[in-house]
Amino acid sequence: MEKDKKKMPGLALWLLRRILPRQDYVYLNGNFKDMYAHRAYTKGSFRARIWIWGEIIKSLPGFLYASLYWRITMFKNYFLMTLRNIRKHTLHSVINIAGLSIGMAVCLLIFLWVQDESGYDRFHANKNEIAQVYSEMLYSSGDSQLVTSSYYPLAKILKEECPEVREAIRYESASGLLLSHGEKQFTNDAVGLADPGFFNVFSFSFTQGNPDSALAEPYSIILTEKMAKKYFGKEDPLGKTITLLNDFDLFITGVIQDVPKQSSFQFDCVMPYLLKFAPDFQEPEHWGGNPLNTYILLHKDVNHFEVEKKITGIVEKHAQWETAKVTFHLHPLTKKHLYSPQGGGLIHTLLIFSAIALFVLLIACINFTNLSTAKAATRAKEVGVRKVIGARKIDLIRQFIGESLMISLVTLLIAIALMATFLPAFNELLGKQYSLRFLLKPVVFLGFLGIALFTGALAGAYPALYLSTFQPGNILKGLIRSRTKSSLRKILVVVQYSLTIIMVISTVVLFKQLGFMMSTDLGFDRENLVAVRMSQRMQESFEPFGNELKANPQVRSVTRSLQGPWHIGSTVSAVDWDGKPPDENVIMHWDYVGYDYFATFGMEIIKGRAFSRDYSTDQTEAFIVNEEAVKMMGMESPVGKRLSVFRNEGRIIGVVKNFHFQPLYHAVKPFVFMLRPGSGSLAFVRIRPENISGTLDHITNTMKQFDPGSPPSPIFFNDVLTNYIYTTERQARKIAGYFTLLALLISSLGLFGLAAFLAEQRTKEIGIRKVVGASIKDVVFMLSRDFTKWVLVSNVIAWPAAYLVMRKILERYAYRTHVGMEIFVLSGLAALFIALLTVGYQAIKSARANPADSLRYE
Amino acid sequence: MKVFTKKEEQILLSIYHLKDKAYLIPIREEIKKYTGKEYSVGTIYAPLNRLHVYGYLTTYIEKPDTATGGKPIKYYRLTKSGYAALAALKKQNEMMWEGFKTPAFED
Repeated sequence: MEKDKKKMPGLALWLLRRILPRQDYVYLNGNFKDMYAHRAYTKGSFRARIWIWGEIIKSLPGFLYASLYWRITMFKNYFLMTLRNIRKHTLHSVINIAGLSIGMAVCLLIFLWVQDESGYDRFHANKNEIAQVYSEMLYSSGDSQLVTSSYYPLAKILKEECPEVREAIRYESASGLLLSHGEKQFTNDAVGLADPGFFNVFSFSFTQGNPDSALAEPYSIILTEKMAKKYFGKEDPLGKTITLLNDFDLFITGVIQDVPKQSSFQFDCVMPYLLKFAPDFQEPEHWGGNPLNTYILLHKDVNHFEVEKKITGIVEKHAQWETAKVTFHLHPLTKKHLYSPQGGGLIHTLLIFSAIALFVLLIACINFTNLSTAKAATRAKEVGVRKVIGARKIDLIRQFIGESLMISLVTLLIAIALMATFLPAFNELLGKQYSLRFLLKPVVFLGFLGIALFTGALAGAYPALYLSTFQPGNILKGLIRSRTKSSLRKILVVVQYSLTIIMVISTVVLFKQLGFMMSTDLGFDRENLVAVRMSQRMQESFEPFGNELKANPQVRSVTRSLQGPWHIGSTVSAVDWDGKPPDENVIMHWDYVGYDYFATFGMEIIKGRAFSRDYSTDQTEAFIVNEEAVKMMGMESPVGKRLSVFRNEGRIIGVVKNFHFQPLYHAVKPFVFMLRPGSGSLAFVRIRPENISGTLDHITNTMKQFDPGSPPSPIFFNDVLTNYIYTTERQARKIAGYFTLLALLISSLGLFGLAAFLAEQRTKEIGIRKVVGASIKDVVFMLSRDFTKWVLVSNVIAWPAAYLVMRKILERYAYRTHVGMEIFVLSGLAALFIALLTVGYQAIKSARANPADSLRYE
Repeated sequence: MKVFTKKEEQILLSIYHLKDKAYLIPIREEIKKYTGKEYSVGTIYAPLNRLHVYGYLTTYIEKPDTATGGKPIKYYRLTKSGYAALAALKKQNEMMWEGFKTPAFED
């Protein structure tokens, strides 16, 4: 017992082993044991225990200092050497630090973006058990189509019949609805329509009200704090009402915190999904696709694949689909933001930009490596002396790696400053609100530090290995000279330029493709076409609204439709015509449109006629199809033929020339128009090219007149394309453009430094050549010959690679711009030109020097 | 000559007083005896090690015997330059303390 009492606690012993200086561990450990035993003996083991812990904590700084004593001394020396070297070789240091900080700043920006985008929807408690249900239609033709829109009865049936599903809900977003409370009327709130289980599936935190019963009543509404403040100010909103469309009074049953930015769902309020079927609440039972989404909450550790099979089976029993075979799939919530079920998605953009950022950083690291090895001779004496005094190879490697790490940490500060400068522009481009405050997030802070350390290690690895192998005997005898013809250096320059050329070519292709998409003939006139998203009030009084618009002589015509031909995704498979093979499943895209649709868009009716007010039957039994549909149906003379869509019997009255109703990723597909002058939330206005701003004012005023509550402003069709449809392309073009310029800049800087160094080394050679009779031209040629060769080799490597990259870029577009050989040649020539310009400056400077100066000394 | 910190001075003097019984624990006790301040082991060890590195102290190891519980002990001893440093320190201190007396205060 006595002996045990005197024994130190195991953890304390373990800790001492860690912290005691190695050289005196045995004695110090002994001392501690003695003192502990003494205390335990005289004052009891409890007091001794307290004492030992206090002692360890108090001793820690002293021991650390003693253990690191020599390292601190050496570190001071290394630090001094680094500073001296930076100062001594100003040009090299500036090139290195400038290149690295630009490369790093680019990486920091992209990192900030990537970490933000990959953090979406992570705040839900059940995030791993939530999935969106989507379906895939398989047609007899072998085509398949993914459908993310869902079916009204799906959620209910899944909840009842699929045991793995804990909860299933429908969600649909709506906008432009008129909401009011007394005097306060707004149409600009984003509305979510959801089944009562919504708040059990998703974790939005309630500040008032009960999540379980929040949406149970059909006439209820949940507000976000922001919206509650907008309507009620400081009043308590709970129990008050919000009026929907001047018709339904909705009781406020809860208030939730504002929806986080990193959420795929963005809404200001949530209403029960049943409201869609107010006032009689007759839910449609049919299995037709509708623009809602179905989300399910699964039990833990359920195999998604099994559930998919089960759902497919369950639905098959309920829905008698004749036209297509439908299978169901799950899309996990955590993937919703980055991956789209169709494949691709934001993740592609992120990957591409991460790659580009890494390229830029790599190019900067190559500069560092090249310049460090090139000027190795200037460090050789230092290496020799250190080795003679007793430095091992590992010490030298440590020193040089440490040096580049130090530089990269300094660079990090500059890079952060650079990044802060470009952050506003970056934010505007991506529509984000990043700020330097993000640095306080541990992920971001550590990520930045990681990038800096990675850069330092990458850039310093080879120089460290190279410098540390010098033989002290040779160095001190003066036998070593930096090898001017280093094959590695050649390879690195070639790699650098290949990367740069690939980036240049890819960027040019991106520019061309976007230009192509913005200028190609869509099958209608996209210029001077204005789109207006109408609020409920404007929709209800569309006739007078249109007439008021047309009162302005600059407005040529007005029409309305359910969807905009920038992206019409709705399809119908319930299509029938005379002579349709019975087992053939087909789909057609469709849209409800108003009168004057074809005239407003400038679409060409090649057979038959457009919808007309003169025929009252047009509203019920007339179809206009596109050429592709005619081709699919195999009709010789389509006009007047029977067609049935959504089981509505009718006749084809016209054929419209093929037009693009989706982004150019997709080929033109069969399409059918139906006339519904009373529906559709989009108005399209064709205006004359004169006095455009005046016309726009007229449109805005008319909108205000029909709905004073701040409706969204009119927007040009082309702006819809650039701002909402081809956003990725627009962002990619800008970012890739800037990054490519930076890559060019950094590689030119590196080449400039290298050329300066090589010219300096050949000063004497140049002097002798000139004395013997070489002209300035000869010397310039001699100096730039090598570089020209390298850049040409880079072209040879870069072209096939760039071709593959280009193919990958253009792969997703069904309609592509033509990229000829000339782009490759021109990009290569541009790179060569810039390289020669940088090298040429050095070459001419050295060639013009007076040989007497370079040969006089010695 | 190097200027010693107070702690280093105390350690050097303690070793001088302890003669050939100077190792970490007694040094600590000795300083406590004179100043009343109990330093932790680490705070003593760091300057002790530094003084050793600078060559003011040498060390020798005493092999364990049964009395010490079987642990080897590292003893410290002043070197020639250690003595010289202490002598210089003494001279310095005496010069600085020269003629010191507390003036008479009114209250």
